[in-house]
Amino acid sequence: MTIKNMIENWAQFRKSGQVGDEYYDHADYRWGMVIDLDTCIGCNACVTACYAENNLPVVGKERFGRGLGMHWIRIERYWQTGEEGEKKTRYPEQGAQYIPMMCQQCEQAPCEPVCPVAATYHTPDGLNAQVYNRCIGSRYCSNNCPYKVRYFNFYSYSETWASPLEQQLNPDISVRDKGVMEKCTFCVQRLRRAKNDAKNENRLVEDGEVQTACQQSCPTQAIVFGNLADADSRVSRMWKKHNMAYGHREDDKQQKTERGYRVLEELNTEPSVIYLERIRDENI
Amino acid sequence: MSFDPVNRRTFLKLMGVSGSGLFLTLQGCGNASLEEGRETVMSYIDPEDFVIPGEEVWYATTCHQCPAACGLHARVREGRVRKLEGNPASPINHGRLCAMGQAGLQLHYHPDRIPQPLARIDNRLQPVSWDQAKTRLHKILAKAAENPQRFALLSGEVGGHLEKLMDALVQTIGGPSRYVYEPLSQKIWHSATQSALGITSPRLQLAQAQMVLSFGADFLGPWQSAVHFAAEYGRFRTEPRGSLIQVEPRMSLTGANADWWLPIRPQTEAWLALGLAHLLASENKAIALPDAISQALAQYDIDSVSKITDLPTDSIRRLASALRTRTPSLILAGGPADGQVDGSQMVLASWLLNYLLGNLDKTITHAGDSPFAELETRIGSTAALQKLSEHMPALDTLFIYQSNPVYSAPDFLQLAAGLEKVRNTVVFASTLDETAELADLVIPLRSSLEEWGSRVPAYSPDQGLLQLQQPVMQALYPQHVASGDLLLQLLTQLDKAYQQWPDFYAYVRTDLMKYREQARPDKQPNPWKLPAVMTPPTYKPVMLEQAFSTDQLDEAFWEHTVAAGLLQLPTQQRSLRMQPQVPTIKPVTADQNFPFTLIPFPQLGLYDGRHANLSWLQEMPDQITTIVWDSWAEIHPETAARLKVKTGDIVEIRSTHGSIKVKIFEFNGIHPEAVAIPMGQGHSRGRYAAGVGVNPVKILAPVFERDTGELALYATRVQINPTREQDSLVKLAGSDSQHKRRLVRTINIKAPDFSHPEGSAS
Amino acid sequence: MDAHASVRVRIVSDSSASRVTAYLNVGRFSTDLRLLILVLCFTSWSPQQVLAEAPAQPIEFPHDVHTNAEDNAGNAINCLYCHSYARRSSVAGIPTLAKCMGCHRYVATDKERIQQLTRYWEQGKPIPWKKVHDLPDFVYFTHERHVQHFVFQQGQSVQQVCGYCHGDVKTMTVAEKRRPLTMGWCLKCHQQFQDNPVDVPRPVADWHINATDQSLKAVMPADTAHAEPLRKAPSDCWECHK
Repeated sequence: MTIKNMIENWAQFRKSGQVGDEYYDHADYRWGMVIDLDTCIGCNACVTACYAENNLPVVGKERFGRGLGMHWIRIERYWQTGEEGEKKTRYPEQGAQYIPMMCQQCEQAPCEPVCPVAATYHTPDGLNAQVYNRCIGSRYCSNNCPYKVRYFNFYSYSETWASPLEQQLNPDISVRDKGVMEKCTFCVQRLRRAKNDAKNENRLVEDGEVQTACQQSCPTQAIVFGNLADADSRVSRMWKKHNMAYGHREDDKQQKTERGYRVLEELNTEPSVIYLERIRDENI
Repeated sequence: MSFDPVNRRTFLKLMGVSGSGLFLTLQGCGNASLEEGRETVMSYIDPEDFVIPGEEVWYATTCHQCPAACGLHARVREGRVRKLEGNPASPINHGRLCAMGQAGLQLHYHPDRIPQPLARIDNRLQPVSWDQAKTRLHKILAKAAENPQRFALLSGEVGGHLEKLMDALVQTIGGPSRYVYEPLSQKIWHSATQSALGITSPRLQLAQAQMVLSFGADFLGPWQSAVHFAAEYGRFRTEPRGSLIQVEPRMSLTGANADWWLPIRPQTEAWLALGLAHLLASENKAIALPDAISQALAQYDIDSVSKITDLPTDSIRRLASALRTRTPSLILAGGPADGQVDGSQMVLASWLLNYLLGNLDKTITHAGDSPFAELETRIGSTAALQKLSEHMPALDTLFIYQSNPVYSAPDFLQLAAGLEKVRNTVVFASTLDETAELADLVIPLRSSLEEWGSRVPAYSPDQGLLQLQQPVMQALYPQHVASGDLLLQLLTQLDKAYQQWPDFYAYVRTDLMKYREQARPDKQPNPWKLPAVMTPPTYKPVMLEQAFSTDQLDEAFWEHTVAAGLLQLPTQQRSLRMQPQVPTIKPVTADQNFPFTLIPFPQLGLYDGRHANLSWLQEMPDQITTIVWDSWAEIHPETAARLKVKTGDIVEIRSTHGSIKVKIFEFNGIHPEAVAIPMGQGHSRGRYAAGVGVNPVKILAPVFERDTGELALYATRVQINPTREQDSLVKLAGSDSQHKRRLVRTINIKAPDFSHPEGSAS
Repeated sequence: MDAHASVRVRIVSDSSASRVTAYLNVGRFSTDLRLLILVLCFTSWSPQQVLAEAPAQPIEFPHDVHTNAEDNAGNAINCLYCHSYARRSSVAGIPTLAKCMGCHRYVATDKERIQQLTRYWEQGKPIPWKKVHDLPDFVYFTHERHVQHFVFQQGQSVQQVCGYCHGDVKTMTVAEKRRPLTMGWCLKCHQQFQDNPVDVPRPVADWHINATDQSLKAVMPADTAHAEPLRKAPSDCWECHK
């Protein structure tokens, strides 16, 4: 959203736009992601990569225990507990259920309309942006986020970077202080750089040219990221193969090989991140 | 040709901003900006052309966080390394990097790094100047050379040119004593594999297997080469999807990703392996086993195996039938399966299964003969530490290089006491750890991102690989001497022949030149693959094909190798031969006073404890329990009920050789006769590590593997004694259940050939 | 509906321990954000006004001697010769000492300032220049994009392009701040070109300097396939707020 747009369409902005809104019509990019839960092994490489890339603070045991961990991407781990017709067994015979959870960059983001100062808004690239110096710390956005992927700086964490650790900080991204909300940005600093490089050559960012830090580190390549506005990009092709699109409903699924789904789809948040179902072989 | 690496790399003054905290108030829209006129902006003096302020430069180097030796690309901005990523050209990690590798940055910038040498003066470690430290070091060395029998050198797995120099130092002094110690040693696996296949490290091609059966080998975790096997696993799951079965007493990360996870009674894995071999051999007439083996296998009938392993006969039959129908498969053994008295036998049994299933030359192939024989990494062992502790009373001088045995060795070795009796203990370490604390002289090391080096990875899909390590930034403590330079200086003191190399850089470079001809693209069956384009492509290496058309071969070859971060030479692959051997395993006699088997498991994170002082890894949730910043003891809920304890209760875990107090964590993924405690915590030193959790290795009993003399890490029997204390565990997961929200969705499939419609992940 | 909003951001600046806390106390806040923008951006300045005292520099560097051919014996060095990073990096950069010495090993070696420079060079010490133009640490600004667009894709004169934000540097000795470099000031231009291709900003009087250099003969034309978005100035928050 441009400033001008934001001011002129404030009322509409608060409602959150319709999918396919003209707001995006001219956009060359719409960033999206696919995470294959069958190859995700829950190893946490992506989590640490995010800490390194995005200047995330370490909060310590006591604060972590109060739920104040600042991991923009976290690996949620569930077990088969016998609910929902699952077998309840003496041992977890089918292993753990891992899901990397980060900001889903919703098209109809619940966090956006509740921000009193428009510090969070939707970019024309389809990103759910957070402007740190605009944020007043009302935390409305976090309360309205069904994925719980917004992280608030309840404290100043500068002690995380005990000297000389601060020399590691990524200069392309701010270090957020007390009172500011933050969240996964799809590594917007990398996108910015890639777009800049492409513009210098009078072209668009090519598929595979830019990787998010989590995707880059993933040992099994479970994460695919790219431009959904480009029909030939790998991420577009995967969305299509799994019959996924904005506005997709679970009922649209036609075959078992279409493994795509979106978390909490019933809330109509239209995330830009889709997951592919985990597979277990029952035939052994 | 210049040998001066500092000039060559020209690590120049930083363009950065200095100044201390400024607190300004912006009133509305005044013209006052923030740092104008107050902050300094430094200019470079004479940088390399590709060094541009505000632009990143990527250097290829090698990861030192574990023995896997992954290739790295280090992102450098304004003269400082900011991010580590995998080197796409490396066949080890294909551009990927695990959490431990990422955290290498924190080790490099660690606030606990020792800024200057320390010497014991008045029984206290005190800072001394580098000159004083060197004088003292040279004096100690001179004395050691007079009495070589009373000198020893202990190190972790080093590899490459540093290994060569260390060997040279020990040989020049004339002592017999070079000890290579690695707490998570693969010695048992290597030695048994050597006796079965004639090579220590075959290539394990997970991606080619339709099924993988792993006995405790946590190949997605810290088993041998985590990132490499995870990448293989990614392909294994896609083209077409293979199935993974994991058999182990406590669920590892690999177990958590298995299609079928089987809890086996601890210390009985070999029985299952031989039971399966018996089932397969009796039905498969195609591969004839020598009579002696068939007869020996006869005693592992399904009923007794079921009784010993606590697995239902039905499960064992299902396993055997899956193995029969899904070929090729891959059988692996490691972790709790080979850390036993019969560990070698277990590994041999896994090879026997592979042999029976015809997996040799399909999923297990020859990795080529290493052209870098003299640079190969010497595999560390725990037996080395045992031998050292016996040797210690006879020692005057002990050098300990990058190893922390006082922390990682079991108490029964009484290493700390032994160390104190050694007159001169010189510890080469980057932070003041438990071992360095007892030293007489502490020589601070540069970080691996600040020095030259090389490494032949212990596990490599192709043995013709040498990983190269280069400094990616100016040393944080420029006066610190690089390890290689220091070793050369010490060697020069003893043998003037070493004067020919002005520094370690020259040593590595001169030595690698001998591979130049082999590396010529026209000499190779598969022409040299140029390193994949870095993202973004900043440092463009000289194209080798062009380079060979010029007359500057040396320079071109070197530039290319450094830019690529590795040297890959063609190797000859042979087909594998195996002589099946008669299995001889003995039952473990259980002492009823100690009803549980202790499983001190390593995680992809703190590893053997060397990463406990890195805050990213402390705050990284454990992959299974999601606990952070703590130690815990996993027991099955049935066991907990029997002992009348629950999660959070503090219990005493007692072996014949000590006890520790730790919080209980009830967990289904563990056999009821096992108790599992993660390795890595329980440090007394380090700002992020000290006082966190306990070290389960401390209470291990002196049980050793029969063939190799290695410490049997998973063979200690313990008792669990409830105390009345309680404490809470901090973990990420609020719930084990998804509460019907269907966040992670699973489809169960029946067909073995389900493939991902989008095809290969790579 | 009025409310007081206090915007606070504390930034640990890149690569050093220095920290800056900026408090933007926004007086009035209403549902119409126009006011907020006004408050943030309203500044009265004239293009010739010096907005901040030039800081005392370690060497009193004369930009005029180097660039103003009319007054100074034909020295008309292109801005990008010394600030050579501007076309390929987010920062324009201070020229390396080696670059200064490239000429001053031979040129004007009798001058006190050059002897000062030579001393730095001989000691291998970087010159501690003081910052003249600075942006808050939460702002991403790239010289590269602006220079690439105006100079290499549109063929405007280098002096003019630099002058949009830095004023007529060829008339200064040490650089002085002549433009406010506030967000509202940036948007003056960026809003003009939201709907139209980026061209010369208006009103001309606010932006133009008396450039004396020649523009490039050959420029790279914008690709027609993606001409639209590439030729418009972004005014999305996340293009600049990092």
